[in-house]
Amino acid sequence: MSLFRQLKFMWAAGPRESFRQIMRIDEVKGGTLIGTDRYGNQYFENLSEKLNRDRWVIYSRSDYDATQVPPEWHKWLHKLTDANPAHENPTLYRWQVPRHIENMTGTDKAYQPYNTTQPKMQSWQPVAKDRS
Amino acid sequence: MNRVGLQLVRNSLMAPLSRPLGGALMPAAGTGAQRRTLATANPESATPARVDTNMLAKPTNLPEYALTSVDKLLNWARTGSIWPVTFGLACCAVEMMHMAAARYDQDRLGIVFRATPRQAEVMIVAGTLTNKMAPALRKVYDQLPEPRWVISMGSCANGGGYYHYSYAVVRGCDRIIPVDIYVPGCPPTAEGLLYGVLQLQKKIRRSRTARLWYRKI
Repeated sequence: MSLFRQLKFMWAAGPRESFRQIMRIDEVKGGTLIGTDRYGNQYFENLSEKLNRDRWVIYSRSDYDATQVPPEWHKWLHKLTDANPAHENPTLYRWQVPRHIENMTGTDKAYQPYNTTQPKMQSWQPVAKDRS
Repeated sequence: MNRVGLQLVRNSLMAPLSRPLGGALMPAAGTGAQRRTLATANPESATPARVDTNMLAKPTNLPEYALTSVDKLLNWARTGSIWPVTFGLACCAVEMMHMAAARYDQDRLGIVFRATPRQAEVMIVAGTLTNKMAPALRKVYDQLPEPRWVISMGSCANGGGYYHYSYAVVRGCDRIIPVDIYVPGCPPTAEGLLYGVLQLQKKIRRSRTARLWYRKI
């Protein structure tokens, strides 16, 4: 992105929004707001941008993560569809997760796989010898 | 090893396994071929589950409040300059190189590959760890200065992978060194590895170096 375009977008966005975008995506972009998902993430499009940089998301949270994008918007973001997910009601099948969850790794809600086989290792219970 | 992250991982592993696993992930089984729409599926889902992934523990007293800021500064500096020593062992190393190349461009995150472990703080174990290489891996890990983190990349480094039953292969590099982030895949994409690095950044952001120092004195 040229400096002129950057300055143009910064002028159009204003100082507050420019700062927010720099914190989120390290640059200031300009485009049309396509929609907002239920988490508050905003999805933009500007077809005059470079290929694969013409659709992007501005996350609502500062501790953002790519898994905060719900699947229907992921589809739009990665150009699997041109239809606006905000306008259509996608069919939710039984096998689908009704509520999209972000990656909870590292928190107490982290996914934990379970084992169906016998454990191969035995835990050791250390016993302190009485020294009296 | 006073690393909080490892402790957290260990604690989460020790959590009772009787928890209803996947209870939050799996949809409730309904009868018949239900076709619901997202608008009507779960109206209260508009508010996402909010977990403060950066700071897990809230400060309780004045020194902890002050040291939280110190920790934040420390973690900010550490997340912004992750210098990995490359331990490329197999085809995963090619994907690791892709992460360094123009498309994924690790340098924008401050990641610079170092050729010596003494200048690095993260080790990316990329590829099959053989028995013959294992002492060298341990030696390189021991040469990393504290604080240090390890990313295990790919199935072979995670648990032996395709060569799990080979007599010459270590069944996972976590038998030799403690691992912080496991990146699945055979090989993982460069995008996947980069996501692993971002997860490591989150983990570093949770570390409480100064606060633990205060607790000890």
